[in-house]
Amino acid sequence: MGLFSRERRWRSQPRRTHTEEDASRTSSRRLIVVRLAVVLLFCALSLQLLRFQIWSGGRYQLKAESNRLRLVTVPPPRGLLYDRNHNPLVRNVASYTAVIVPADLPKGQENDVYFQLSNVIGVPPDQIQQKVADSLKRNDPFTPVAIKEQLNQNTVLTLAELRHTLPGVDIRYDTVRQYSDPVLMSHIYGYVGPINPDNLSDYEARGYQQDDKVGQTGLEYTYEDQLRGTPGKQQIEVDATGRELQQLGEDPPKPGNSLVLSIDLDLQQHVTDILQQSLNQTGSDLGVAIMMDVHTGEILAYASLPNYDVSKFASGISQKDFDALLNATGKPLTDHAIQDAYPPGSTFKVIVGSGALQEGIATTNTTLISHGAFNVTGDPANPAYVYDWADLGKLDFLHGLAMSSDIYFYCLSGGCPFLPGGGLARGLTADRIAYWAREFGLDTATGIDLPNEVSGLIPDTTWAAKNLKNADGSPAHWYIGDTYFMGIGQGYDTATPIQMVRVAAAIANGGDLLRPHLVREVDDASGNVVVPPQKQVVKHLDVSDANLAIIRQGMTMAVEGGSAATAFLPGQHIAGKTGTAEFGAAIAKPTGDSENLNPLQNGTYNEHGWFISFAPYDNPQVALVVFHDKGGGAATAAPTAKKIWDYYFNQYKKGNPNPGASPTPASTTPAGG
Amino acid sequence: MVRDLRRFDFLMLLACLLLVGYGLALIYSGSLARYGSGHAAITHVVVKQAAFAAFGLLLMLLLTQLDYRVWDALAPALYTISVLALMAVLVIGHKEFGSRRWFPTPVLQLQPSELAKLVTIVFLAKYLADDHRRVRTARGFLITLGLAALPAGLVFIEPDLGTAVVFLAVWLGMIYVAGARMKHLLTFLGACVAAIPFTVLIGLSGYQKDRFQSFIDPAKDPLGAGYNILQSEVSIGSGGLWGKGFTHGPQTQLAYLRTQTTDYVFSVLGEELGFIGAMVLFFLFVVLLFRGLRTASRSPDDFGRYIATGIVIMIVVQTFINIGVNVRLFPVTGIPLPFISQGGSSLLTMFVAVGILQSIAVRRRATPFRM
Repeated sequence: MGLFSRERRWRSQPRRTHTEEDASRTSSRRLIVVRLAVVLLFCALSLQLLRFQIWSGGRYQLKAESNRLRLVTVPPPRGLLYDRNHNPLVRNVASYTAVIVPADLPKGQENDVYFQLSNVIGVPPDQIQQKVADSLKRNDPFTPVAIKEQLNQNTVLTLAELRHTLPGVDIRYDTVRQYSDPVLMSHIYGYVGPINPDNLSDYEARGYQQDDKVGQTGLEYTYEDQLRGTPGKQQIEVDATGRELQQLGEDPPKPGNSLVLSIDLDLQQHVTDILQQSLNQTGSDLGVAIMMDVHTGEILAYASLPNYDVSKFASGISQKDFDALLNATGKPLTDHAIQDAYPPGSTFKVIVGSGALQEGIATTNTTLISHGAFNVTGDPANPAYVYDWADLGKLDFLHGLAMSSDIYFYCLSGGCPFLPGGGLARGLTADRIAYWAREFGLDTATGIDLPNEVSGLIPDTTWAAKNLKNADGSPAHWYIGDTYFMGIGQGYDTATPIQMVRVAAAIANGGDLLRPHLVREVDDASGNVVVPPQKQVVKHLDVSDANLAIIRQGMTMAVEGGSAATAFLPGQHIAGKTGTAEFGAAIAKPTGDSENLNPLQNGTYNEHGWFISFAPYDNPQVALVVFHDKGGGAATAAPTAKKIWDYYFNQYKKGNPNPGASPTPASTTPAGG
Repeated sequence: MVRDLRRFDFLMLLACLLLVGYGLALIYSGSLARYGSGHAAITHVVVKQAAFAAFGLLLMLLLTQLDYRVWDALAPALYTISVLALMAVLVIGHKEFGSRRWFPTPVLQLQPSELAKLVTIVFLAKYLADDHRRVRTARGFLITLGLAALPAGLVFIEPDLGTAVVFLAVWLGMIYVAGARMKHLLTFLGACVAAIPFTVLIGLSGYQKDRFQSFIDPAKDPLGAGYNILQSEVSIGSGGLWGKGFTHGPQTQLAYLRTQTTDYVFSVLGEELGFIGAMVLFFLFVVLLFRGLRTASRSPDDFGRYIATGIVIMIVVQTFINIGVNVRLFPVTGIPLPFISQGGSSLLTMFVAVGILQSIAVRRRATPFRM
């Protein structure tokens, strides 16, 4: 540009003096260079702008969009729960949570925000800081951190105003469960809670997010997929502090489906009250009463005591409260109707009786004499006595069942060739008893729509060889006494109340073993039926109609003058079978059933009381099981059942002549007299 | 005024006023997110800036009337006062964003470095014009360097690296135009290049190092030191050819940009008015600067020519650094965009500068001495 050549020329003329005119000429030449430099500098800026705005403009466009646009998941409203008459049981109510989005906190002034937030919601600043720090270890800084849930209305309003001066602080709207009665059906409802970290990946695979809440127990757990609904998406515009400015687009969430329970709220309430009263009277810690439609398997009432306040879980229960509940008397968090199995006692005789009839071991004419005890060996030199609960005298099959004779059923179970007055050469044997017990659905979960159901246990010789050992570890011998105990529902037999009510229902309905269920119908949010009522027959029992009719007759006789007379309700036709099972350490003397009105007569209180029943016996509609942890079949369980039947026939049915419990019209029931 | 109305440079004035108007519009848009629309924004920033502009315009006209040669006599005293003020601000100045640059006054935050730039220009011009041979000697070269380096050093300590660079650039431009030997100039530039590594390692204060690191890799701390760099890049880049429309830039209006009425006002322009808007701005600057250089060319004397040169260099360097920071050519440094950025000190300084230019222009020779 002539600049350097100019210099060089000057150097080649060393001695020439630098005149003012030279200076002016140089100066004006160099001003042209400055002009050029100015243009060049602006060209450089323009080139950089071209690069940003034209060549890479699209990329920056996307970046700017992702700055201001956030796609947020909108949780769907969870489905509701109704009783069979569509009375609301579980609803959703609004809940507001104060959250912090760490990314939006003002840099270096986090503590000011914590302090001001603390003044509003009452959580100490160091706790807020801790929660944020904990979250940042696991999540990215855009994940909101819940600081306080269930804010009250005033706090929400205060916070909503302050939010604009507290960058990073936001209020999150949420819903929590609200119960018409948080205690009455706690075991049925269950509760929702945060996803257990161990199962997180499973849930994430199903489209859940980390801070979603899911059903933890009860129907909330079983019907999670129905109740959940489909999350929506919302595109929102946020400013630099993360505040939502406007909603740009929405794919609305689809609410979860609602459950219409088979439970009748009125019946549930009264059955529970009656059970609670009788538990209080007998000093029992826990008990169960379940009413089931014998035709459909629908559960009409399901009292499982003790229960607990499920609303404590709705907003997150403290560890202390949880531990207290876990260890409270009667274990309220365990649903004893399905999660605990107990020896079924003499209620088991309906199964042994059915098997014995079906296999021809006995007929209605099989007559045996109970003198209250007999020597099993028949050898006076080497006697081994077994006992009945009373000297019941001459018994045919119906009376053996109706009077719940232990000796009669020992004979059916294991044979009694040496019974004075003529015995049975052979009985069912342990493995056949086990077969019939399993035929009636014991030793396997019923498949009720509640989680964590246990299957109970029915032993057989294979099981015994594996599990029963002598002190030296060798397999223990299976004695005839073991078969006898097994035949009267003692020893190693255990069953859940839900299994036993199903047994009663199967006998009542002519042999259909049903899957019990609590949810009758699933409706969508608009009330359209998604899943209609349906009955599920697990199988048809391999017992003839005639034989089942005999069992029904025996159960009727038990109530009408037999061992279950304490359940007799004048004017109603109830069929039932009591059971009193000893539990705890094995007792040397097999006393079997002690159908005494006074449970204390046996010298111990450690007996379970059972009563299974159905009514009306000539046209069965409903089966009922009553179980008392401490009590006796005839002494406590049957009287409780009587009160329940009394309420059912004399009040409930009168108010609901046709409650629609079954697809077949309910038969007209004679009024109680 | 009456006397030299014909020679008054109206084009320069027009460019000036258009730039200020452009700036007011950008400040208005940039302040919406902070102050809301309507009254609040008006009373808070735009009106205040317009008031400074009006006052600046008055000042400019007064200075146009005043013969620029009076500055020749006043230069040594003004220079001394400026240097003392720069020293004082280090001790009693108002601290903000980690540096001491301002004297708080009720009307504006007085930034002595702004006026010191002009005073240094005048004093350098006087020194160079007093004897045109000085600049060609090593001694003269070093003395002028010292005159510039003293205020530059004081400003550097504040710390305000950007303004220090402006002082040195102005000095370099002025002695170049005054006829300094290429040997001296190249030696000086070589020494500067050689010193860069040492300066980066030792000379820069902590926050300047942070700024330099975040310039190299802003994504390292996207919510901290790198935030402004990333956001201004996104703002300008997303503007495209025509921009998002005035007051319709999401980055600006949703407050993703910070200091968007001062240091990052160009990002508002880039986002909302796009490449075209930027070209309009550049055109206005180029017109202004060329009119300034024309004034230098036609100056009746060396003193006027060197002052005009210094002022042009000052404006162009500030503009280049400010926009360069916005478009990621330079590390972050707080230099206002002349005539555009919100801020009284800077705007008044610019009007004073233009006033002096006009004073030279109206006293120019009837015809250019050469060209």
